[in-house]
Amino acid sequence: MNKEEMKRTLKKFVKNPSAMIGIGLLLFFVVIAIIAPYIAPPVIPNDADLEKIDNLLNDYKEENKDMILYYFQSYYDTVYGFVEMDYESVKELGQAVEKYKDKEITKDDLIAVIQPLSEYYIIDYSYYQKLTDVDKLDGFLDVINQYKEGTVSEEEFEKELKPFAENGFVTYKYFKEFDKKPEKYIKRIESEVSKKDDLEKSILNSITDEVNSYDQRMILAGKYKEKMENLKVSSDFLNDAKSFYKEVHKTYINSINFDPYLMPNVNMTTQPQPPSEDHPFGVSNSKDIYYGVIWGTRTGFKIGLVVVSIATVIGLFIGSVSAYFGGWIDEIMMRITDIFMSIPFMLSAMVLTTILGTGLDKVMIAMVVFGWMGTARLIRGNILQAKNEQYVIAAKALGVADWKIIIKHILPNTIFPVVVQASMRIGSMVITAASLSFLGVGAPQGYADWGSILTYARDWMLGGGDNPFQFWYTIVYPGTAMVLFVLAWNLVGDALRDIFDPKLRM
Amino acid sequence: MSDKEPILKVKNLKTYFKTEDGIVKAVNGIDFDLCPGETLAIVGESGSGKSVTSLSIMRLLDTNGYIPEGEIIYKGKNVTKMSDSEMRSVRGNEIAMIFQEPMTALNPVFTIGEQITEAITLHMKMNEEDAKTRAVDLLRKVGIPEPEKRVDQYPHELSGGMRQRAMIAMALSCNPSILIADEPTTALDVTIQAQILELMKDLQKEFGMAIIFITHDLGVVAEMSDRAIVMYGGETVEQGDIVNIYKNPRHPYTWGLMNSIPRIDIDTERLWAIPGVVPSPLNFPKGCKFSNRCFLASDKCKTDHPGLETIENDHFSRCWHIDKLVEEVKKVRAGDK
Ligand SMILES: Nc1ncnc2c1ncn2[C@@H]1O[C@H](COP(=O)(O)OP(=O)(O)OP(=O)(O)O)[C@@H](O)[C@H]1O
Ligand SMILES: [Mg+2]
Repeated sequence: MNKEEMKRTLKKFVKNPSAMIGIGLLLFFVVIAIIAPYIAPPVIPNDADLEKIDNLLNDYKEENKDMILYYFQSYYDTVYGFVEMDYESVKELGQAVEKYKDKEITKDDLIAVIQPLSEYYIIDYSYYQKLTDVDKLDGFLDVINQYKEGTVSEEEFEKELKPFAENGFVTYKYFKEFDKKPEKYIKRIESEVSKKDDLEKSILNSITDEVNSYDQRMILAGKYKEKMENLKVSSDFLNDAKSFYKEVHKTYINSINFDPYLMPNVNMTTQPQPPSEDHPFGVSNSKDIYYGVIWGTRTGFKIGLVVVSIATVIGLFIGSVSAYFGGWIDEIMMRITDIFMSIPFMLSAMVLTTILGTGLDKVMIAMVVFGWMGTARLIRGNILQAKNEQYVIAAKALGVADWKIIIKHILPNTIFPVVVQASMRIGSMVITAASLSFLGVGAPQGYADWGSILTYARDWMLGGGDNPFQFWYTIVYPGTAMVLFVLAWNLVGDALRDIFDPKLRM
Repeated sequence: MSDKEPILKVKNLKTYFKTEDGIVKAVNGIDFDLCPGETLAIVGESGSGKSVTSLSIMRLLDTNGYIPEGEIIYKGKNVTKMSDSEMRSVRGNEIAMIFQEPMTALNPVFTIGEQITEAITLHMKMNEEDAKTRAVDLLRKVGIPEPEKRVDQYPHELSGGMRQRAMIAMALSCNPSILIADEPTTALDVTIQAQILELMKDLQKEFGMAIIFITHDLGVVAEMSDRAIVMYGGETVEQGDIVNIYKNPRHPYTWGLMNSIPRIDIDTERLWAIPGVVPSPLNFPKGCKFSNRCFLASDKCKTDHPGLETIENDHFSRCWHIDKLVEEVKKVRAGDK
């Protein structure tokens, strides 16, 4: 496109009111999605000590300095205190493991080191358990032999087998199904038991890993301590304390896996609460609707863009391969497409999410798997049509190479309808996701998603008693957001069609 | 014209299509030579195999089409045996083609300029800018007003006649030695037709290319061409010098075609129409393919297939009743009155 034409296109676009409304709405949603953390700040759970530090820093008074340092220390004690305390004994354990590997000490010596540590919960009890049980496997071999000779009954053998199975030394299935195929499982059990040394090695390795992780934590603890010391003598205490707090807070947030998309509970009742100052859109199922609607914008974009772009790429690939190669490849691919199309989407999505488990990503996978067929058909039809256009033959008659004909002459005439269709589908994907949520196979419980909020309204939709509109806010706010979102994408799709359609270029 | 060495020789060309109903023999034995600067017309009703002949020369047949027999020799090389890349360097560069429908033969998403430039840069070592200048020159040459403006316009912004001119400009962009024009004026109205024909004649004088002119309109043939091939059912039914064919047609089909157009120079009261329609390619009569529509047809015509007979030098006809034609025609004329 040259400049002149760009101007013309732009002018046409600006003059088209529905295109402008679409773009405006879409921009609005984009802005909302971007500034969501500011207009609906997530309530991040905080450590008690950190919270106190935060409060004191916000309203800083010279005399509170010691208090602040005290809370920093207190936080250190809860998070790193035990690391420091246990470090020596854990180190000892590490050395003992090394010595045992080098056969400098006996197994009993090693177990003597591990035992107290596991009893004080410094290292996981299962290490001790497993390490002692490994040796019992020798005894178990005897039991197997006795069983083979027939001196031990099947019930007795199974009783012996059970603890090994429970500890994971022997595949649990062998225990459960032992009576069905004893001979087969005896062989397998024998072979597993014979790997005893490997087993022990892997247990020892896990212990070493555990010990090494203490080194890491000690380093962190050291750094923390150092910074605290610096802070004590800092000339610009307030600022240093603030930046230190930020840093600590960040590691704290990371360590608790906080997810802002999970809507927090704001009260204890499931009955919706009407809009109030704190909750401008009201409360539904203990969740703040305003928070959900704002963060739901992000979810909407996420679902729409990801699902549609992946589904479109798949559809483009399948459709263009079909159309280009034709023949039996086309036949097979289109029949597969037919099969996918003939399965009702809701049903298949539900089945798939039951197999995969719920969760937003699972829902999106289901939507991609059953969402590419439209694109495939569209692009195939377009390419088949374009293939026989006279300008394609004319280009061939000029000596243009095949690949160039596909890229320059066929694709531009076929891809734009796909782009237009895709942009319109982005909106409708959100509705699909919402219906899945409504059916309970969508976003996980409490996830900020318009569909989920609407789901909460299910029990209250008819209002209470004599007032059918009593709980209107449970539907109106998320519903409006959804409708506008779909509308925005549709209008943008229309506008794109106007721009892309060469026949409308004037 | 026969004093020159021909650049294109088509010998016993046969082009068949595999279809579900059987093999369609769309072209079944065509022979002709084409000399530089000469214009050869291929005339015939719809479905007679004219386009298939030209597409065979360009090797642009649909995937179900094949050439079981015959040779197409361009400058001493057999086109049917060329590799794909050799063929691509012939297309557009040596043999160019313009199509019947100027509406659809240009790609709607690119400007006229972009499409002509593509053609130029494809075969000539030229940068984009020079190519564009050349495109503007070509557009001027084919008589498009304000070529500087038109070059940046899209096909739909041009009228049918202008589009055909643009197509011609595109076809001529690499100075081809043969231009195949497949019914280039059928889709245009009469005044524009005349202009385009005039333009093609002028350009032929200037560029010196040979033209294969495909049409079902014998009227334009007389103006345009030196020789003509009249095709029916995939075969040559009459072939020869245009003056001979025009003044002295020796095949009832040619005669029918000729009298189905209004002419001032011959005094007829009403137009003659060839009875019936071209049968489907799988249903031609056994003997002479034209026998079921021919007013001269005898029993022999229905069973025996006539060969191409020489009437005089360079004038051939495929008919059992060549001699009877003149006589019968007089009778028919008399009967009309
Ligand atoms: N791809 C194809 N498959 C089968 N038959 C074909 C194919 N292409 C052409 N034919 C047949 O070949 C015959 C000749 O077609 P052709 O296009 O050469 O006619 P034409 O003389 O150019 O007619 P028109 O004046 O309508 O352009 C027709 O009967 C047509 O049905
Ligand atoms: Mg044709």
